[in-house]
Amino acid sequence: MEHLIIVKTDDTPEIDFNPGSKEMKISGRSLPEDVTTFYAPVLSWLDELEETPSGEFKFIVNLEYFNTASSKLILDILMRLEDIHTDDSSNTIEIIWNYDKRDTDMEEAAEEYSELVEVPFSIVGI
Amino acid sequence: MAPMETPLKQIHSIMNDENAVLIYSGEFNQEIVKSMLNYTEGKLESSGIDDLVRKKIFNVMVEQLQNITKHQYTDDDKQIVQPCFVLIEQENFYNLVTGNPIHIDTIQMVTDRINQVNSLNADELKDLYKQARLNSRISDVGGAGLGFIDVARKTENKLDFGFYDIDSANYKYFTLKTQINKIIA
Repeated sequence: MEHLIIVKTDDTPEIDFNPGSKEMKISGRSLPEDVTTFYAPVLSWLDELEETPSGEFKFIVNLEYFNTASSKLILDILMRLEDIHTDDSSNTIEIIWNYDKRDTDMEEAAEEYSELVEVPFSIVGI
Repeated sequence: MAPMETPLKQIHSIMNDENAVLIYSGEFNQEIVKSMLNYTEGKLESSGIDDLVRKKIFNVMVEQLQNITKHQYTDDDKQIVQPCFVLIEQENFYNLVTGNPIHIDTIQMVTDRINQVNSLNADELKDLYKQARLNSRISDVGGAGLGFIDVARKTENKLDFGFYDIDSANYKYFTLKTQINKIIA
């Protein structure tokens, strides 16, 4: 498994998926023109994780904003994480979703995702 | 719904009478959208706006601007009326107005979608969004088909819209006006 790093831009988030520390982080803003292309390497990385016994992973979200198209891709990522967590492999997932505690729109978005996936899911107002 | 004035007339009156934060008419692409967002954020920040209101404006503006970027048409390669965006500050709220040509074949679909969104309360919108997202597929132009629902949820106000005749047999000019309250409940 390679360490996946995508540097953040004005319209795409930072991706830092580190097999060494077993942390997968997504931070910043997500409003790319082409969400499918942007998130393709992220989904491929998760496909590889599903095939590789690697232990207990944390998915850490520090998103400030995402558009509706990204919202669909984030759901795809969370469902992939659920597959990894619930299949027969030894890999487990914990999701930690940090948000600005005044931002009730983001809190609600995180709650809605947590209702959809069967993975330990903490929502943390900071 | 009271008919809005024709878009160009409306923009003209906005420029004269209202406190416009940003007025743009021309080509829309991702680079231009990013510039408009950067400019607006800077201008709003220096106005001392509540962070949460600024964030809401950013959210709704992205959806409205990207909606235009993803649905730009030319009529038989002849450039028709340019799309536009206007952000104006009123006493108690901000208005975000977009205008763009849309093909007459899509008017009914757009009308039905907005009327559906306008008929729902907050809980119903939440359920619709969750269900629509589960069933959504990213379209050829990169949309998820969730924009109107998201904008209605974030603004907590009804969407105001209209279609105006332009010099084209196949297109009308679609305007969408959203409202973001300055005081968030």
